[in-house]
Amino acid sequence: MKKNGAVIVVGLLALFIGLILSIQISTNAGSDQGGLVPLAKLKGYEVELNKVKEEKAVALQQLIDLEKRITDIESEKAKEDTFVSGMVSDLEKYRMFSGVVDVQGPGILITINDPVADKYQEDYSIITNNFDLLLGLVNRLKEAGAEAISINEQRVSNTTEISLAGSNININGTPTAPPYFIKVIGNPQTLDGAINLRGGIIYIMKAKYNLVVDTEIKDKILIGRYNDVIKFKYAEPIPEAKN
Amino acid sequence: MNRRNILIFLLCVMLGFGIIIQGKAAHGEMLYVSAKAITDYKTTIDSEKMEIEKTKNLIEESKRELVLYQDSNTDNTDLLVSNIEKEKNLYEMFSGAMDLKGPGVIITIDDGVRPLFEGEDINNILVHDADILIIINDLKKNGAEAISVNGERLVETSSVICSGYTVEINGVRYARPFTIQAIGDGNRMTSSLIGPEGYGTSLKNWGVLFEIELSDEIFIPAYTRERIYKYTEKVKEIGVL
Repeated sequence: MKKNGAVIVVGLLALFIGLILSIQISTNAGSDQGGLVPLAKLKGYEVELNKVKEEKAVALQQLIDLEKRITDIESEKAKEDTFVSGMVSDLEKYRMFSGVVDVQGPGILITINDPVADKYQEDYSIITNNFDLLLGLVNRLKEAGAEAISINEQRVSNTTEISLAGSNININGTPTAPPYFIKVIGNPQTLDGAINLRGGIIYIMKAKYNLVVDTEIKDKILIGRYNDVIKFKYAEPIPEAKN
Repeated sequence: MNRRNILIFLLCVMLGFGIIIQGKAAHGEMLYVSAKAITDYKTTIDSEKMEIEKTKNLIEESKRELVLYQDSNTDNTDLLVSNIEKEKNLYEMFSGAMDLKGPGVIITIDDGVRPLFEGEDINNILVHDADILIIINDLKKNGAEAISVNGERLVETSSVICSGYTVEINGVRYARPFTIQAIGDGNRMTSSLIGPEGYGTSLKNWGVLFEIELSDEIFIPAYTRERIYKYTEKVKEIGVL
């Protein structure tokens, strides 16, 4: 009887191990090189993405609350003191110039995606490997008077780079993947006209690179702030010699 | 003894079958997915994680500031003023509204002087706006803190546009040669541009003149034009994004 008990325990353990192994296999099966991939694995990515998105929303809300408390203290003081009030409005002005403020206004939304792939091309992202197209597009938009630009929620600031890092594009040091959503605030007609012309940058993207590009005019576009911590390691201000 | 061996053998067989059946059954539906779709998923997840990290850094910063304000609740005007002043300076520097100096690099690019091949397009050895754009982008990627082109400070709204024989920057026309100055880690910026894959190297191969030199002190003037926001306004409601 005692012997049998031990066997039953071993049996249960074996069953347990078998179950765990099979679950492991089912979520890890299918290589990352693509091909036939179990739905469970894809679902896993989706779940993880949603999770980090939620986490981000929580962090953003916390930041907004904290910043509100700080501005409350500052504006309270500004009410009593005209000197402080001048400084606070100066600070606001330079924060705006720096792009560290959430902004809104009329503008356009440009969507760029890789062409619907045939079997041999699908592992190669055209837009990623021709990131200078994005660079050129942003340059055209600035020329057309864009007041604020973001690419996949990365605010284009004074130091923003668009660079190829391995198999993806880094913007503000953050990896991004297609499709690309470019939000622009400015005169919608001018912006749209400056990029959508025959032989213009979007024409080239479509005709030469087969990219799927769509431009939409919007009455109101929200663009988030530049969210890197700003630090100067090399540059220092020159003592003002004015007056 | 024999009976025990048989039992264990049977268990092993069961275990083996169990694993195989489970492994087959739990796969469920299979989808055809390209490698690109999977890397895109991964990149997006990485991107969001990076965003969280950045936001957390900002939260830390704000907390520090808040503690500073609340510590000296009795009379914090001086503290408040000095903190606002400090922040104002930082954003003034960042937005290009202040003259800056520091170590960095000076880059000179000019049209090539080599003889053309028969039937070659002269454009091959001329400097174009795209060349300047790519160099600027490369400098930013390698940590440039402030950049000027022919003495014109680049700010977040600056474009570099070729128009005829001149290049227009911040609404002012400049002609060749182009001098790009950048404050930052000189060695890093230089090695990126003149490395074997660097853009400077490729320009040189085309025959365009490209020179880069390190400098201990570079002066970059402020952007002094007025900035008017005609369409952009600050988001007032909280939590809309």
